[in-house]
Amino acid sequence: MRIVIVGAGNAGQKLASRLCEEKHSVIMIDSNQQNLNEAEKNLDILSICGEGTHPKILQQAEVDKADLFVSLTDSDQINILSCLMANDVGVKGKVARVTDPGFLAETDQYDLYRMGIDLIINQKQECANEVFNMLMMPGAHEVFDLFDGKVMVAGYQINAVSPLLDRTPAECNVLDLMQEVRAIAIRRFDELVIPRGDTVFHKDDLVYLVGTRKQIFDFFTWVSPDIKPFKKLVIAGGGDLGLMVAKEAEQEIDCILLEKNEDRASFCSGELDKSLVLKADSLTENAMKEAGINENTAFIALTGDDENNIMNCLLAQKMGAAFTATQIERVDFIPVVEQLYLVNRIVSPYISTTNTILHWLRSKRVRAAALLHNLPGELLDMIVAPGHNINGMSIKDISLPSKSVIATVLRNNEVLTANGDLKLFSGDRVLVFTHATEVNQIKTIFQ
Amino acid sequence: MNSKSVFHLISYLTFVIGFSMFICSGLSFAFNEEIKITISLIVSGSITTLSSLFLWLLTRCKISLTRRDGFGVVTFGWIIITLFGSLPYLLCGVIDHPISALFETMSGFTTTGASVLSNLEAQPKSILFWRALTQWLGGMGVLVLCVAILPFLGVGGMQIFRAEMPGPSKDRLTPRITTTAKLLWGVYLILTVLQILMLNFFGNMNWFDSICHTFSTIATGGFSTKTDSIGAFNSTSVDIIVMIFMFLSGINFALHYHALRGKPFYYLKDGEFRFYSILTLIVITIVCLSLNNINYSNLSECIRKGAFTSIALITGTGFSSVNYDEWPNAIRLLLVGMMFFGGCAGSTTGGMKIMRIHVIIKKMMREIKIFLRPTAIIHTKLDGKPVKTNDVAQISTFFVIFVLIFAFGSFVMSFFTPNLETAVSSVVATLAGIGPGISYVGPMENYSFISPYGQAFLTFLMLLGRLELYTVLVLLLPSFWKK
Repeated sequence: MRIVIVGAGNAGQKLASRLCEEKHSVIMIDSNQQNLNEAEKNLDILSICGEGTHPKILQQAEVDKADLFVSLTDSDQINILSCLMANDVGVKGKVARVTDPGFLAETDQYDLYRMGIDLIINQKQECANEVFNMLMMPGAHEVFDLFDGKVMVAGYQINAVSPLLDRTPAECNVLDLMQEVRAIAIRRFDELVIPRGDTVFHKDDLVYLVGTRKQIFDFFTWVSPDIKPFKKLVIAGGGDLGLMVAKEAEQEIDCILLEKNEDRASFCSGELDKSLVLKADSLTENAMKEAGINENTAFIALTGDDENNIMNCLLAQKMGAAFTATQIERVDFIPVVEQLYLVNRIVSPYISTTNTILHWLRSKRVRAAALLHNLPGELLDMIVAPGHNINGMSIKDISLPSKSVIATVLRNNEVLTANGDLKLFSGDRVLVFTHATEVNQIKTIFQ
Repeated sequence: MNSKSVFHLISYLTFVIGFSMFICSGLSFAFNEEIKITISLIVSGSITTLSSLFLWLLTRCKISLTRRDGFGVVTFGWIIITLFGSLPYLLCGVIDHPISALFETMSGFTTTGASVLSNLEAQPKSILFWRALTQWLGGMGVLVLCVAILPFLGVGGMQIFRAEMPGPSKDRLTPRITTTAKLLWGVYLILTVLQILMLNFFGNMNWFDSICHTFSTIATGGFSTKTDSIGAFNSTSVDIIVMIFMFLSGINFALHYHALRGKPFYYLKDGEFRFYSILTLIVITIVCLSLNNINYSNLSECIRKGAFTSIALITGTGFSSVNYDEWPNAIRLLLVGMMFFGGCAGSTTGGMKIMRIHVIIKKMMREIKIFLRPTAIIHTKLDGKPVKTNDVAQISTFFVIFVLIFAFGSFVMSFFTPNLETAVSSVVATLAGIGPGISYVGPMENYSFISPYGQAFLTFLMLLGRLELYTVLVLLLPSFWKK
C-alpha cells in the first residue's frame, strides 16, 4: 500500500515505523526538516518538507495515487483540511487526528465523517476518559467503557492476597459474582493466555474481566476491600490532556490543577468549573504542599515532559500520595518505569493512536470496540447477521480460533453473560476478544 | 465635541417630543376638555416642533459621531427634551413652579415615577396621558428609538446606543445596531399591546386607564391615573396582570426576543435571569411570612399585597396597591435595600442591575478565596464564561460610585427633608428610578413638599441613575471638553 503521513512528530514516527515493518511504502510530509531527518535516519521512507495542506507539496507526494492518507499534526485545522484535500483527489482512506471535541459535536451540520474523513482519532479525549475511569476504580489496572458505558472491561493484577490466587475460573464460579463477571484474557509475562475452565490464576497475572459497570465495581470492592476511592486529585500540567482530565474529574472529586504558565493557567481556570487552578511549578515542594497532597490524594503528572513527570510522581509519593500516574511519550521509558515500579500507572496517548490506525487498516469492516494497551489483543464488536448459520447456536458449539473468546452479548440493549449455554440470535451484538492475528478468522465466522 | 452633529440629532429627538404633544392635544379635544388645556397643549407642541425645525435648519450637516459625541447627544438630548417636556404642565397650569415641572418631566422620561402632583383624579386626562407617554418614550430610550428609525446614523448609532443603554451586557441580537434597536422596540411594542389588551379584557379597566398603566408598567415607571395608584382598582386580576408585566419588564429584552422567536429556554440558560427570579421569590417569601397574621389575617390577601409590592419595588416600577409604609420596619428596610438592585441588564428598570450585583458577589468570593491561596488563578465567571478583568473593574467602580453618590445625596437631601428616612429613601427612589420611598415620600405621599433646590437635585439624580452614571459623569471631566 502507498501511505502518506502528514506530521512527523511522535505519533507520526511511531505509526511509520509499524507500517514500514509491514512493508508498506510510506511518504512523510512535515514542515520541520529536523523531524524528517530524524525519521529518515531510522525508517525506510520518502520524506517531503513542506506544509501538508499545500497543493504543490501534495502533488509532489502524488497523494492521488495513495491508498491511505493520515494527518497527525498538532493542528486540528491542518489535519482536517489536508484530509479534505486528499478526499477531493479520491484517496480511499482518510484519517485525521482531531483533539478539540467541538469538531465532533453531534450535530447534523459540519459532520466531518460526512465530509469524507473516514476515521477521526481523538486519543487525548480517550486517554482522559481512561484516566478518569482509573481514578474511579483504583484497584483496576486498565478500564474501558463499551457500548455507551453499558459494558466495562477492566484489567486486574493478581496480588499476594487476592481471593483469585491459585484458583481456576471453574472454582471461582461458585461465587455468584464470578458467574456474572467473565475473565476473557490473561497477560502472563508478556504472553497472552486465554483462560479456560482449568487455567490457574498466578500471582502477577493481569486478568481482564468483562461485565456491567456495577458488576465490575462490585468485583473490585470484593477483591480489594481496603482500597478506598480517592477524595482529591492533583494534576500537574494544564495541557490539553490535563485540562480534559480535570474537566471530567471535577464532577466527582476535588480537583487541583498545577500549571506554570500564567496565561495557560488563566485559560484553564476559565474552562473549568469547580477545579482550583494554581499557578505554580509542580516540581517545587512548596507548590505540592500548597496543593495539599495526603493519603487520600491521587497525583497525575501530565506536563508533556517525561523526565519531569517521573520526578514529579516520585516527589508526590514522598509526600504521601496514595496513587501516582504519569504520562510518558518516549516508548523506551515505559518498560523501565514499569519494572522499577516507579509509578502506579503509565498513560501514553501515542501508542493507542498507532494501534487504532493499524486496527482500522486491517479490518475496515469490523467495528473495533477497544484496544487493550497492555495486551496484544483487540475487542471486536460483531453483529449476528440474519440467516447466518450461527443463528440459534449455543456459544459452546461455535468453534472459535484458539486465541479468541466471546466476552459478552448485547441483546435489545441488555447485557447478557456469555456462558456456554447462551444461544445467539440475529441482531445480537457480540463482543469478541481476539489476538491480532485472528481478526480475519473471526470476520469469516460472523459474516 | 462635534456640536453641529450632536445638536442636529437632538433636533430629531425634540421633534419626536413635539409630535407626542400634538397627540395629547388631540386626546384633549376628544375628551372635550376645557379649551384652555387643548390650546396649551397645541402651543407647547408648536413651540417644541418649531424649535426643533429651527435647530435642524441651523445645524444641517452630515452626521458623524465619535464615542465622545455619543455621550453628548444622550446627556444633552435628555436635558433638552426634559426642558420642552415640562411645557405642557406649565402652560396648562397643572404645576406652578418651573423646577417642579422639570422634576415631573424628568421623573417621567427616566421612568422613575416620583410625582409632585396630588389628587390625580382632578387633573385633565390629556395631562395624565402625557405623563404616561413620557415614561413609555423614556423606558426603552427615545434615542434608541431614533437609532431604530433614522436611516442615516450609521456608525453613530452604536455610540448613541452604547451611551443610552450602558448596561454591562452587550450581546447584540443582530450584526447591525439599527436592526437591534428596531427589534428591541418591536419587543417593547408587543409587550405593550399585550398588556393593554389584557388589562382591558381581564382587568375590566377602560381603554384610557389600561393604556396609561401599561405605559407605566412596561417602562417600569410608576405614574398612575389614580391617587391611590393600582390600589384604587382593588381588583385581583389587575394586580396579577400588572405584577406579571412588571416582572417581565425587569428581564433582559434580548431574552424576550429569543422567546418570541420560539426559543424560550434561553431564559433558563441565563444566569442573570435565574438570579433575578430567585431573588424576587426570596424577597416575596420573606415579605409574606412577616406580614401574615400581623398585618393581614387572610393569606391570599397577604400574598397578593406582598408579592405586588416586592415586584413593584425590585423592578423600580413603584406602583403601590397598599400603603407599605405601615409595614414592620424590617420589611421597610428590606424593600428600600432591594431598590438598589433593579432588574436585569438590558431591561427598562433602573438601579444597579442584577448583573452587576451578580458579578460583584462573585468577585467578592474570588477575592476571599485568593486571600487563602495566593497562587490560585480564579476567574469571575458568568454563565460559565470568565468576565473580562476590565469589565469586572468597571462594574466594581460603578458600585462604588453608586454608593458614594447615594451617601452624598442622602447628606444633601437631609437639608430638605424632615427626617432621615425620607432623605435616604428619596435619594434611592430617584437614583434607582423607583418613585416612592418611605416616610414623607412614601407610597401615599408625593414630592411636592420638597423645596425647589431639593427637587432640582433629585432631578439630576434621576438623570444620573437612568443613564447609569458614566454617561453623565464623563461630561464632568475637563478632558471631555478639550479638542
